[in-house]
Amino acid sequence: MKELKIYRVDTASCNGCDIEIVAMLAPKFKLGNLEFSIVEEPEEANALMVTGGLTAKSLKEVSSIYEKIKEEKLVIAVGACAISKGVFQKGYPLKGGIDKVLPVDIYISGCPPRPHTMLLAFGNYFNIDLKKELKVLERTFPSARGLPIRDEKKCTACGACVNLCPSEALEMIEKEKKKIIKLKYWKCIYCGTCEEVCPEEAVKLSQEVTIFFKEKERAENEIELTVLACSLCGKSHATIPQRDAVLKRILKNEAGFKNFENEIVNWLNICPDCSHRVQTIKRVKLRMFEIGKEILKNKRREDFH
Amino acid sequence: MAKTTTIGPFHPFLLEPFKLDLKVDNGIIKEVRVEVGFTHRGIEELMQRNIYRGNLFIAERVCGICSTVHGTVYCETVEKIFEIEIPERAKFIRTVVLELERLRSHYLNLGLIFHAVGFEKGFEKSLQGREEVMDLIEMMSGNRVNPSISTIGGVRWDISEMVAKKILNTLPQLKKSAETLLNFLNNEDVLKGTEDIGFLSKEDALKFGALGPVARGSGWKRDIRWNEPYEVYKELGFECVIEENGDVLSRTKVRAKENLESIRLIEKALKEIPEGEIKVEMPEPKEGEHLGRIEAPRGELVYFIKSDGTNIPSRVKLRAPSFNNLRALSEMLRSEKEKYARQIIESMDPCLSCTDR
Repeated sequence: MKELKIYRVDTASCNGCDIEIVAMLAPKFKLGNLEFSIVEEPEEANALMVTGGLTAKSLKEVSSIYEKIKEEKLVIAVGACAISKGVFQKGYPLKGGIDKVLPVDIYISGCPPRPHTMLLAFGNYFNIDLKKELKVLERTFPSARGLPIRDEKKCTACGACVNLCPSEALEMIEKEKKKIIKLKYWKCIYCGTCEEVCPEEAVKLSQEVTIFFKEKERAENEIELTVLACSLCGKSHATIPQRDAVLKRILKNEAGFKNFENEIVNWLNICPDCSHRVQTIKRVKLRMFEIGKEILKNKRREDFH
Repeated sequence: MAKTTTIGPFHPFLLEPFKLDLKVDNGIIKEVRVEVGFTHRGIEELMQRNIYRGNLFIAERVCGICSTVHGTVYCETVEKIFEIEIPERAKFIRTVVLELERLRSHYLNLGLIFHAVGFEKGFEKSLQGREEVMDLIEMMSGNRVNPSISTIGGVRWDISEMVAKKILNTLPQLKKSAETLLNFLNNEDVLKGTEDIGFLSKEDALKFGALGPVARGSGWKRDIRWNEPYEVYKELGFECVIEENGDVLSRTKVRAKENLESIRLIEKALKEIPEGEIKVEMPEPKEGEHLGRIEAPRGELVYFIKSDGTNIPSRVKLRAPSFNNLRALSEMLRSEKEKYARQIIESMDPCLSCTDR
């Protein structure tokens, strides 16, 4: 199939993806080998471009439009919302991505994806030679916010990025004395929050903005880190690199602690539950010591009199 | 005989889904019913369950055409509640990106109007001009549609000297294309045909609370940049553009003339931009409430936020300009020919994702 006739459906998008689809019509993106057009009736189309997450109101309409389009019935999910609800993960009207009701052929990731990415995805799907156009399509700027690249050596699994990711693209899983941080970039909106909040500078947004895939499961990667067991109860609480990072920060900020490195490490090896208990014992001991001192003082005073 | 024509909700010439029921008699529109709510995502409720920092990204994704405007007015409102004074340089950067965004929105709208009247040369020209603006936005922030420039306490990305130079070098070219678009409106016969279509009188514009280019096209000086200047519009000397006729052509002319004004503002802001910090740290949350107002490409955008001192807002309310303008749209469509419906809808420039939220 060479001629692509696209019918666009906006289920509940912010129209960011929609204007990028309109922008594909700009003269800059005229392609030699790939013929595509945006048609006005679903009966003429052979491809369906869906933008936005599914809402209850648009669910029926999308299914009926899918029935109407011609054979091939290519379904393209455009943008993070159509793939996975994007930034509206907890929104009550949204039922999910478009793949809940229709079989999706191409997922084009981005918030929104650039028109260049969409055209490259078409070219890739139909095995069309886009060599001449690559100069225009693959050009990015140094500031481009693309796929987050993580440095396994620097990551300490502190969980700052997991807590603050607006689209819940990062997930922390704990199993068998391992901490796994999963990046599902089919959910990613490429906002740069992870890069901003990482205390170890382990995450950096790359310039890789052409991201499309046929299966969601392939658009994932993970980092594995060994868990540190508590020296008192044996329960896992942090990772070894995380402990080292905390130690480094303490030594850097408080010059007076330089001679007590081993003591600090011992203390950091204890999990918060146990350290709480240890602290209680310490506090009781200290109090008893103070009471004892007071008794002694009073006794001496009595002796004096 | 009267019959009812339904446009939408999923119609190719509507960028976004909404439903119009037109009661037509002999080709003349008698009655109009508008139905919205197809892109409702529950954003206000979602924001009341999320932290201030995460809400910024949700606010930016209320609308893809005016994402910076939403992000900036959200930040401004929160800054007023938390009593944050942002650096002067950040204000200039915000103004530059807000105006770039207005340019790209107006270019798109002009293109859609040209497309609606069947003037393909103009459509291509305006999309071409829009791509230049998009390149500038991408070069600065890394994303074409969501520049994500504002953050609570300043801006996220700085304008480097090189980028500022590149923008200043592109501006004459942009000015040329903006002038070409304005010339099309003055000289082309196809566009002159849009005169006296979709008339909205000055009184009706006030009665239905029209905002933005719709109100300005009917002769009202309604522009938050002029009425209640924010950021650095006062320092830059903003001039309000108005047209008196109140038809499709005059609303379109307002946009075309605002393009030139935006280009002037960007140029002046980039030349006068001071050195310094771009961001201050976010302090502890404070109790309070504030009503923030900003001029989006489509009119006045209002955010109300109430804080109870925790890191989650207790109430967020937003009102988009298209909400008011949709009421005025039914007045514009009444007693017009049915074939002009598309031009009139495009001239109002509906933004449903803002309205439905």
